[in-house]
Amino acid sequence: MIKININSIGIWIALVTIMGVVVFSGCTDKGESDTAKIGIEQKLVIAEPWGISSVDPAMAGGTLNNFLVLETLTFMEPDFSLVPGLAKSWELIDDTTWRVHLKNNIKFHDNTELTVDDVKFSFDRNMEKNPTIRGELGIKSVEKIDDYTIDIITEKPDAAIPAALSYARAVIYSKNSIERDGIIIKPIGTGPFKFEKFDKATDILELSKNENYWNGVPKLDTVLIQGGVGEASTRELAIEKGEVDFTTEPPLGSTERLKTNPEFNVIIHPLCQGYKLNFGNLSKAPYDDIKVRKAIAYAVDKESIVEHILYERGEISNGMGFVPGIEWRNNDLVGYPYDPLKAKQLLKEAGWEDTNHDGILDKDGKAFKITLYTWPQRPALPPLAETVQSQFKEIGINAEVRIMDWSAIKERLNEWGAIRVSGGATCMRIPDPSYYLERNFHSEGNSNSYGYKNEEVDRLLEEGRSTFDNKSAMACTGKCRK
Amino acid sequence: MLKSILKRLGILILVVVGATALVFFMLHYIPGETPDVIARYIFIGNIEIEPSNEDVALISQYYDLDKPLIVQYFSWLSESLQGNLGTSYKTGQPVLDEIVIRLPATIKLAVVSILVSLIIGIPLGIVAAIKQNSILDYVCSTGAVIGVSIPNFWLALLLILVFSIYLDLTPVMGSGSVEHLILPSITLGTGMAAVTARLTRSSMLEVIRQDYVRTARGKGLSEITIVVRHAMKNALIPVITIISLEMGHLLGGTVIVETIFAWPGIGKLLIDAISQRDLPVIQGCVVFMTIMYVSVNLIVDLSYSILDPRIRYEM
Repeated sequence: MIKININSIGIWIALVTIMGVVVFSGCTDKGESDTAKIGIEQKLVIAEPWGISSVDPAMAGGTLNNFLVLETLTFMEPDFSLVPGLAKSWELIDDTTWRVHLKNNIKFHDNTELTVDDVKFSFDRNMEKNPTIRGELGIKSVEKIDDYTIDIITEKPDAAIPAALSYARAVIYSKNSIERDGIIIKPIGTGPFKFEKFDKATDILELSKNENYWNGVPKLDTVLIQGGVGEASTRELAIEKGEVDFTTEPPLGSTERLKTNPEFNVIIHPLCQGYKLNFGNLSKAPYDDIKVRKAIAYAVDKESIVEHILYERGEISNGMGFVPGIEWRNNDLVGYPYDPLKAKQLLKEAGWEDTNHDGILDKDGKAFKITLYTWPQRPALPPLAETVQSQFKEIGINAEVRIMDWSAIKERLNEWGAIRVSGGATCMRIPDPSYYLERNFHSEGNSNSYGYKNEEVDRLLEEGRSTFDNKSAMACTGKCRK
Repeated sequence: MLKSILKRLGILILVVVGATALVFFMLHYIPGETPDVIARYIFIGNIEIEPSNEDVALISQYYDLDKPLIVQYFSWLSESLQGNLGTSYKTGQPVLDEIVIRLPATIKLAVVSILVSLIIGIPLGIVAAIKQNSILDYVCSTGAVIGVSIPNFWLALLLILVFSIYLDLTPVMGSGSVEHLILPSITLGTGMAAVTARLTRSSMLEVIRQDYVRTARGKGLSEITIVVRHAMKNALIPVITIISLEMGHLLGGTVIVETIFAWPGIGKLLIDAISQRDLPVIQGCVVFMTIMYVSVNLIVDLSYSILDPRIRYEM
């Protein structure tokens, strides 16, 4: 696997990237839980913000992987390193072929054995039913060699394939999974929990313990997932009542309140989730000027945001959204500290001055009035945008905050001075730096909506992705960061 | 009467076609490119991840979104008229199944909420009218103003806090049992009860001043008999009109309350479908809601003739 060290490449877009900590679970003795009512000893109830809607792995593979029903060929560890999953090993056969060897004696939930036929069935079906999976994995086809060996054929030389195989939507399931009208309604996987039933009328997914799990028997007997609990306050109150044991994205600050309650044991887990400012369009004024971009980076008080908006849960990533502990993260990077004076100086050098003394910078008669676009689904985003707005005011930039649907924002990013205040879109969906970098900084990267173009970066990223030797790959990205 | 019903049913088809056409074309003018939104929400499952241009083109082609809008609409309409509302992009299941599975929850919530509003609203309105300008009237009227002013989301969270957390009487969220129905229906019913109370009061004030009520009083009937048997029947006609509109609205789903209580109703289905541009589900929901709205209105119009024999349909 390639190891890439990332430095200040993020200046082009990532101004504030703060690692959020948003998973939340509470344990309480308060109230009579459902567990006690039905006499099951170990039951976990989860409130999921998003609706479940479907259990077909081609569309809901990520959900079923998150809830440990379906597994992948390789696994990503909590420290984001890659380890064998259903595959025991993998090797490069030629530039576009990876050979993957499956573990023996892995049983599906219906007690049949996992073979290459199931792997091929899963990949073929996933990629056929959901074209975005093929695009994300970069896989052309999968070919059976024998019952425990499969070849992964790629479109082009791709060193990130072993990492891509851990992608939550590259899930493996039995070809005996029950289908109706071409849709899988009962997925049969290999994970620690078995699919029991999904009640669409109540949006509740029920799982049970897989006694024959190949990697150790799970401690929980049953897991109930209530989907579609979209309101953060409801999730918090359900935890408080004892109806729910675990949830994600609780209201900001709720953990502080529950921590003071002796009946609760609040456990907070870190997640790889970044918050950042994306310039709308780098090829247009005012962001075509690097001094303006740097000034904005210096104008944002990231420490204050972590302290007051994220309740001190998170840290400043200094450039890229790679969380601490990732091997390719450059921990020496200092980023752009909060320095409004320097920001003002840079803007002055770029020709932005307050000539009419109205408190707003101007240049050639054009006032520095911009719009910060964000969306409401992530609780931290609107207050974060408002904080940035007040910080911009200090350096003479007049920013308007507009909160709207994501799809409406995309069309407005070409407006003069548009900035997208965004969150999520983590760097670690696939544990390989090239995945994230290519998406964001390659001139044809899917997420490069701001129009960053640099032929040298393109070449280095392509070279890094197709270089199978770690040292050479490191050298590519070393140049890239300069 | 039968002729009138048949005519109304005929109009219903036109209303459904009109409503679906309006929604269909409007959907394409709201911000966001439809195949791009479908790719994010439905195929990738994360709105913050950008799909590739190839994927967007493929999705566009797969769902015929690259065809002219008019062709897309008439293709849908022709299938629908044959009873096929299509399949959901998100789940791959028939749209009708998606709606039908959420129907019991929606109907339960709508009916119980209306009952709550009637049980609270009508007695309050009557008392306020009978005791006009008394403290009781002021209390009822003020209560009604407060009730109609309280935002649903605030009341919902307050009710959860009091009844679920402090008193431990009801579940916070979910569906499936009678207990789950209590807080959502009180939340919805309170706002409607306020409107019902105000309307009952004003309507009752008008009716109790009429000659036939005075005659009833002159005959020496008790006040309760006058109110219940004579005045209320006529006073309730405008109330029924409002309730019918509310019923049509509730059967179309109540997004805020459904979201807060994780209640799996039609409203949430429609809002999710709009966010995800699950076009067949959106169209299916519009068909369903239009039919519900028009049908409820028809039933209510018919009920007028039962409540007030002066009203007759001569068509």
